[in-house]
Amino acid sequence: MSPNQPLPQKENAVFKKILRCYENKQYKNGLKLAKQILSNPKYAEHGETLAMKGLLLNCLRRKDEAYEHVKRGLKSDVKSHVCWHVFGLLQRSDRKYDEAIRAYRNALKCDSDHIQILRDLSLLQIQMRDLEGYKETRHKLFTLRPTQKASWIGLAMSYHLLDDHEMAVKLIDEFLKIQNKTSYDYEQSELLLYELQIIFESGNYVEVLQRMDHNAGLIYDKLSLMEMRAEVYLRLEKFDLAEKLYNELITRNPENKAFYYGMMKARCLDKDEDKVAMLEEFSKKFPRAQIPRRLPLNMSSGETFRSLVDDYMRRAITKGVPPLFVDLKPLYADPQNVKIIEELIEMYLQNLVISSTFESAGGDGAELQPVTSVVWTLYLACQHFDHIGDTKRALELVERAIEHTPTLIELYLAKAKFYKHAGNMIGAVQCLDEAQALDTADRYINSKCAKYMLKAKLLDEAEAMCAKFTRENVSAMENLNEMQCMWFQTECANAYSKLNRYGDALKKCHEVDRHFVEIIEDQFDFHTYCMRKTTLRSYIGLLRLEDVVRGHPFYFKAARIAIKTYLRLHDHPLNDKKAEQDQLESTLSKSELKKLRSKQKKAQEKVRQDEKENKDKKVANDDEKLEDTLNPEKLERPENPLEEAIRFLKPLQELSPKNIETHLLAYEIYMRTGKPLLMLQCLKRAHRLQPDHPQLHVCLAHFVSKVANQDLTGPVGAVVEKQLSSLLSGKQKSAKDLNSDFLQQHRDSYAHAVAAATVLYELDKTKQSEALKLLNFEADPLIKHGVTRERCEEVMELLESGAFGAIGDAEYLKAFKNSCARRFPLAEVFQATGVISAPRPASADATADRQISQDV
Amino acid sequence: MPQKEAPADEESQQKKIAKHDASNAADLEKVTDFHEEQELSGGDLETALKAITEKRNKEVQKRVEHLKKLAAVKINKEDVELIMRELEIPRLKAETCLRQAYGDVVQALLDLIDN
Repeated sequence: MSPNQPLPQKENAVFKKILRCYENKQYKNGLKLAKQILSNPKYAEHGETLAMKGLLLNCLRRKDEAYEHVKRGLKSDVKSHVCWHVFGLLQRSDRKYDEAIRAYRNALKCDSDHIQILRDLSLLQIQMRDLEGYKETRHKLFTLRPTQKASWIGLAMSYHLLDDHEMAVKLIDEFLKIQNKTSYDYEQSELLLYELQIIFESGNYVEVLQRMDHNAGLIYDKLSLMEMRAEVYLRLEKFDLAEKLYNELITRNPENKAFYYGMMKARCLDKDEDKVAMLEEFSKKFPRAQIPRRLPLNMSSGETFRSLVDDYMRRAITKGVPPLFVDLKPLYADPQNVKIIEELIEMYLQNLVISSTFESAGGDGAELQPVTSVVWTLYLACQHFDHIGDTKRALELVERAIEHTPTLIELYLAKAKFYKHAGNMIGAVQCLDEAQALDTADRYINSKCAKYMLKAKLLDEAEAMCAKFTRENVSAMENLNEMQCMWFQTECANAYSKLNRYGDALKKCHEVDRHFVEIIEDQFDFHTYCMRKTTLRSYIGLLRLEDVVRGHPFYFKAARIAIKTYLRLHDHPLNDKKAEQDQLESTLSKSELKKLRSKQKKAQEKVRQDEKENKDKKVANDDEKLEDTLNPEKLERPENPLEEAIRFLKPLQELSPKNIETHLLAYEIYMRTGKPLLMLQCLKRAHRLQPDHPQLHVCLAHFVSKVANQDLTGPVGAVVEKQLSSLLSGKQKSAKDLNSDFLQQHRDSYAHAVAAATVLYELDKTKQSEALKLLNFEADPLIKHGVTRERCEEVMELLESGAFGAIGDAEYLKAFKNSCARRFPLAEVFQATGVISAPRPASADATADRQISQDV
Repeated sequence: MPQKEAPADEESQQKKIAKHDASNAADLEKVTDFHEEQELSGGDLETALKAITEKRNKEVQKRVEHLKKLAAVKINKEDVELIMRELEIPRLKAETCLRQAYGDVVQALLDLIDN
């Protein structure tokens, strides 16, 4: 023990017992023992005991006391590795990893060979992905304890993670030699497979094969072994052997796509018709298998496609497969396929009505169909017409289907979706509410309904809807956050930002971000667990997944909203609360003011009540996580909004670099921080992905005009000049010329016309009428595509927000709206009465509703 | 009568769920349990260790040489600061990149932008 404050034998024995208690999670017993030592006035300030007491308190979630004790311990015995180690453990439990590493390093200064401290340090290093540091620590552990399994495996892993396959394999080889087990041992089997995986990744397939043959008897995961062997045969071009194995694998599981693709490679099939023939062969062999029927649709066209998809759809309709359309949707990328599918659907519809068959009498398919076939065909047909943009026909068909079978919930879902696609969220919500009422125990429909409500900005109603399924006595919002229900939170953020409630929107985005923090944090325990259990293949898989977990679409969506919101707050910062209120109040009439006051009072009361409740809760359960709460009012008044935006951007740049939006968002941020090279970097990355993207053109023109106005010298100037000329393919152009060339090149696309108009006005404010002319899609016969509802809504927003300046001609806006309304008759935003905002019943009603639903 | 039975049934079901939750929680708890490391015995530890140590020494030597080579490149402090400022990256990364470009600041910037 500590040489600075030695304990006599009896106390020392007690101290050792404390350590044991901590390891065995007997925290309360440990505290009692600590008291035994500390109550003796001679040892009241014994550093290591104080530190251990702090650690135990921390495990019992008494954080403040814990820190106090540990700090006191450190003060009285600053040379003790125990005190520093404990301090590090405390920091680590608070997720302050850098501080924890520093504390461990201090502990190692006191005792450089302490195994447990080195182990804890290595855990933090792998968690932080300090791979070099991890390797060094692992090596140290290895030299200190070569007799332990973990030393060998840990070091091998550290080399594997640094792509030093040779060293990793060498370590495992030597370890297996020492261990030398011949009887059944699952851990050894896993280790052997892990070793094979490393060699496979290094590309030495011959060796994989040799080792497989040698160790086949010791490996018990036969499926993995077979899969790897087949893959190796392919890489080594031993096609006959590969074919034999894939045959076996398909027989084991005829529903695994990968096996069929492997088989195609094994048979060296290049032509699509050969592949289709092969799949047909397997379809005959396994008549109940789905995959060999579905796959050929991806690789056929023309008459072959017609006969295959005909057969596929008929089976599904007769059987009644609800997701048939979703299954077929990927095939719509080819316009020829769309035509064929449509012709078939029309034929079914006609014949089912006349003769209850798919084909007119005399054909092969003149089999009598069950009644349900009619409704499933109608269901497929309406989704088809919605997808190709014929909303009218889609709605007609779905009405016919509902008339036929009014109890089929899918139909209402489909109808709601059509309304959504047409830009009519109110109608969509009504449909879904109806669907939801048909089966209130169906959580899928309940969630869908809530989601649509959020899209219609009906926040309170959505929460009340969700509350039917969330835990009682907790608000639905809170419960869904706890359950990491990210779709809900992202939709909430979207709704809030549409309602200009920036703080609330940001709160939701930060909550989503915190889920990802937590998911990453959750790895920690597995660093020791997987090593002990030798489940190394899964462990490596976990590490690789966690490295890219923020590449998930959930993160992208939340980050996009957050970035856009912060940009908006940068451009138009909010006043402080008081001034804002005064301003608001000055515009209100007396009665309105009165209403507002009573509302405020109520809100305050609620806050007070919530606080009280929270306090009660905290007392009730101690282990409630003490996290700094997200305060919307603070969030919408950030000190540096661009810095906050960059925080959300970084993971996108790292993990979603293939999405052009990442770089366009990044440009929006960096053009505000005024860093030319970073702007250039965004342009280059976006240009590589899609050089003719309309928004990229806007950014590029902005950059060109800005650089032209600004004399850049030195290295920065040189780099800009060099890169810009490659972006403009060697030509020197002014922003103006760039814009007119761009417009000429994409004359038939509305998306590009909008971009060009934006640039035109941005460069020269006197060109307003010319720009507005470009936006008028009805008057321009050259525009052939790109007039979508979403884009028109965007343009409307731009016009209304003054992005094209004050529009002198009031008729213009009206006329634009009218032409949109003609094109998109169902969309709410283009209706003549102005922007229809969703009717928002008072929140009191929503709470009342919830009460009732809970009572029921 | 059946009315009376229903809540009792519910209760037992709840208990079942609670029990299930508890065993799940216990399983999760086990993940963080403390385990003594087992010692290996038998086998030729000496030879194995020797083989590994030799390999490791070679690797360390190689790395030291690489670092020496990089460190030999002369770099300008102002250039490092320019890179840090313009691209908002940490000093270490800026320095390494500048060294890899043999001290040519324009080349270093181009490399950084291009990836």
